[in-house]
Amino acid sequence: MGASGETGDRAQFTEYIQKNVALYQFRNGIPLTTAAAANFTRGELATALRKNPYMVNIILAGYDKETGPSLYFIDYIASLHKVDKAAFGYGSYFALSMMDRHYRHDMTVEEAIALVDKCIMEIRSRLVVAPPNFLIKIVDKDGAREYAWRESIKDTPVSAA
Amino acid sequence: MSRRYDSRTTIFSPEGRLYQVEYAMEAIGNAGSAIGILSTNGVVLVGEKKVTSKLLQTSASTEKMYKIDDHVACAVAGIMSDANILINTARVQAQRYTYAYQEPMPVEQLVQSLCDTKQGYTQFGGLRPFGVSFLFAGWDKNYGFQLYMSDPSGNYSGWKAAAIGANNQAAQSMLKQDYKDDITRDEAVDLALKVLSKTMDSTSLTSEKLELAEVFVSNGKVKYQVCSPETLSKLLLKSGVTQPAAETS
Repeated sequence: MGASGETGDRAQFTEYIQKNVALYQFRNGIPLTTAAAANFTRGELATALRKNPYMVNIILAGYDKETGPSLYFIDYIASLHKVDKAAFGYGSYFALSMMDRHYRHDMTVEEAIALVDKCIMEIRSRLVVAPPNFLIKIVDKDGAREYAWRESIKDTPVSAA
Repeated sequence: MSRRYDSRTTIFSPEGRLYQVEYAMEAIGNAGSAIGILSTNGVVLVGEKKVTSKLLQTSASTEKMYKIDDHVACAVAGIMSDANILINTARVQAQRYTYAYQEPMPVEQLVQSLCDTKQGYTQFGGLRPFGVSFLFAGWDKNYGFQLYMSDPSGNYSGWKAAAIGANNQAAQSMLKQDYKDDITRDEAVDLALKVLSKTMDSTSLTSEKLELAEVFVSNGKVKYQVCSPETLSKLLLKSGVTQPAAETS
């Protein structure tokens, strides 16, 4: 899950979903499909919406053995869409335009990373309040893992006292 | 006799038994039997109808078989009014799952959820247990066709062939002898009718005394089909359970 929005809600809501997904697997011996997890997430946002909304936008990525990889766009007012590409935030205007221009449905992982890098470059150069560092993660048959950092400002190592 | 330990569900007897639960199972032992058989291409449920009267309006409702969701059905043995409550509970649980996950509820989870409800009535609340046993038949993408049996204690297990209701031990041992793992749906229907005919008290089996339902996949969708009386009569003839109508002299 990639999430953006109110800091506290972001942490709390995504951890809540993660732990419920894990609980389902412990209880039932089978994992939730990406679609089921996405609908569950949307349901939680929808239930809270008219009382105490979570200000969190989510891009949910998953891999199922039967259906392959899938991507879900879930915004803070509980819209749910199954998509091929998604972006949230002010940078999304630039990222989505870049993806509209370069995305193809039969891209390989390497081509997709190249497209992500193009989007990052656009955001860096065009967005006034662009964040300095980016983290790329990949979700595939081997699960979710960190792929690479794209850093403008590196952490300086702190020398031991 | 431990009569002083049997009037409340919430206490064990000194021998460690729950008498109310056992009495509930007694009640089911007097009810019309039902048999379920798992085959390679479907699940077959056959039930014995206890209420047979010409005055009975049988057009719409069934006595033994109920559809819980598009992919799950059940056969019932025991107190019908208790069964109706639990069937409604099962239906609501299935829909609640689909509402949350937009997917059909896996069969074992549905059975487990209903059995958790039944277990509650054996531990707290001071209410008596439900006097119903179920045979659940269904299909899901995780384990394909499945057959589960559950009883008033809230216990359940998966079966290849199972019997509930009157004479269920006799039926169960007959099924154990004749069941084979690669049985097809048609063979399963045949076996179920034969076993039921041997364990039922009545002298002759007609389509009025039975209900037959099958859960199978057709055109990529799970189908629950209750057999019509005419088809059932033909099937009974085919498996040699009823004699053909005698010629009028």
